[in-house]
Amino acid sequence: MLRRALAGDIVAALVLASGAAVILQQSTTWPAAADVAGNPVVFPRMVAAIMLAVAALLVGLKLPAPDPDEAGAEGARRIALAFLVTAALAAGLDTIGLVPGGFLYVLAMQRIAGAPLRLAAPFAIAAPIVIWLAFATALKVPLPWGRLMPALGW
Amino acid sequence: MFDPALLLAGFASIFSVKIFPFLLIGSILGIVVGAIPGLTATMAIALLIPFTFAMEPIAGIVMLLAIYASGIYAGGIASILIRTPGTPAAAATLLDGYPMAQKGEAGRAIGIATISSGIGGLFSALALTLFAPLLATVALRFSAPEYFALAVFGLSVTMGLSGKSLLRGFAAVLLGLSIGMIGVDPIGGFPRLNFGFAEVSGGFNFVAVMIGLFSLSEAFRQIEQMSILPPKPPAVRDVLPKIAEILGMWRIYLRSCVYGLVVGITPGVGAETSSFLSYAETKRRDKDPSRFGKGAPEGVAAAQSAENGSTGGDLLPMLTLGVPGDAATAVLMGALTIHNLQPGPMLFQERPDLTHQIFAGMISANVMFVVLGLLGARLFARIVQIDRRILAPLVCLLSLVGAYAIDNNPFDVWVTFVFGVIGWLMQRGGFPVSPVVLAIILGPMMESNLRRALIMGLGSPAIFLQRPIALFLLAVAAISLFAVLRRSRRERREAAA
Repeated sequence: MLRRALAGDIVAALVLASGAAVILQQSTTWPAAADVAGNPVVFPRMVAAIMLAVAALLVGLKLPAPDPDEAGAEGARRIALAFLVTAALAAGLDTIGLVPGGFLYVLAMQRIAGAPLRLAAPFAIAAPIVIWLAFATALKVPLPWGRLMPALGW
Repeated sequence: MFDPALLLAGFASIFSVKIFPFLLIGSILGIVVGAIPGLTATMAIALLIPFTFAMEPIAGIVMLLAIYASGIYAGGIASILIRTPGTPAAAATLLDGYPMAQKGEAGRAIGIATISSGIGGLFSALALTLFAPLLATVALRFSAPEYFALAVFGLSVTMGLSGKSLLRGFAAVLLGLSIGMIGVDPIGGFPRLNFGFAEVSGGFNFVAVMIGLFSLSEAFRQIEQMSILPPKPPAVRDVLPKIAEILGMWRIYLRSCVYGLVVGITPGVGAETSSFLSYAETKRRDKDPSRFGKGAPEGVAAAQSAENGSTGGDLLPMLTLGVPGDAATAVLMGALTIHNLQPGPMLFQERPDLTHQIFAGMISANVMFVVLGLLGARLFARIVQIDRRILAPLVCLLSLVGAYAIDNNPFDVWVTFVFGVIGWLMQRGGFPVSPVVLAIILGPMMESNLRRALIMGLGSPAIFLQRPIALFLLAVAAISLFAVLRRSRRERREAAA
């Protein structure tokens, strides 16, 4: 339990410390001000100093662990796949387009979540079309049509 | 100042054909989202902001306000029916609502919850209508030191109360502050921390960040923990409560409404705090406190009225000072700024028509969810059973599409994805997410006002000691942090014992 809490806190401490280091290094390149009042580095350096202090405390204090994770290995597999599929959609949304991309994405995510195919398929087909009709057609909010659909003659 | 004629004009516009359908849609969506465990009003507001771009600003804002008010109310439905709070704020409703449902009084509990939420919400909306213009007038006298102190106060309360660990809350605030620095210097206007990437030359798109942190991360969590499906809810009948029963609880309502309003006004805390405070006080004052936890209708009434009683209070500092009361109002503030409406005292000076439309919208939203909640109780009761294996992926798709729709920019889809992963990691590690968003909003305000205050003080931080309001706010911030620190130490000692 303690080991898990520490792992999360160590990652957070590393993120804070790296962020603080970047701010401190970058602030040396910012335009100098005439006096301390207008100095653009005052606030960022103040925040960076506090970030370093909090990072040290996160590692040093050994805080109690958060609520235990009940999802287990199966949950870890599901979330890893969900990240992968979501990254794939983020990369391909502009090219594939919302309707085919959304169909594939929703279907894949529902299967990852454990929904049976006969239940997932209708929602996977309907969801991108409904979103397209509601927002791109009715509300005139531009959504990606993609290059695939025009190539297919749509 | 408050203007009754403008308020009437506001009602007229809200009930016009152009806006009323969005009030109705927002109320229905809010109830649906609130009733489904795991989906929150904040998530729904963040998801739908991009889709309000094409609407008239007030139509979009009224829809989001309706989602907010009805989403907070509907969290109680799942608490009562399946012992799982629909929203974090509805956890107090569970304590007596679920035992009532177990006794075959699910309909009565939902009826009391609906009316109580309506009373609390209406009270807070009326308080917002009366006090917001007054506070905005006072806020006109605020200067840089007061705004800096206000931001410090808001962040200190948020980091103390939004999680179990003050230090992890502090880390979340610092993450938000550093993200808020990316883009341009708020006074000098020179680029900073963007490493030459044109996509972040103005900083990360705030809406894309919010969708990632509040919607996508929560959907990821749902997918991760998919093994637990909701149980079958009990039958819902006899929803309309007796008038005498409601009138008999007037003292509870009065107290809960005041609790809700005061907690709501305090930056950084919201409905979840007020509902538990009100529940505990109602139990303490009851002649027979042992009834509570076993199906006392007073427990449901106290929790629900305080929950919605905080909504108007949460909006008050956001609208008048530009300091959001909680995560949901932080997201609402983002929605206003996207429509080129900067919350703060100047909004009341420049657009009194719009502020009164917002008041009218908030009042109408609270009446609307009562009507819909009572009429559609049986239907909404079925929503708690919606299969999350189907729903969570749809939320993921809507999150990514919403991010794209902000600027037609695929980069924003990546921003939402990355912040979705960050939000998921934070929740797993016990780090609260709300302080990140509040810090992203308040960071630039803090920085520019600190620098302006230092200019006013000729470089000396003693300026904060010479301004009574600023000094008071900083002192309260320090006291509240100290109190949280003491409380967490005591809790740790008790847990160890």
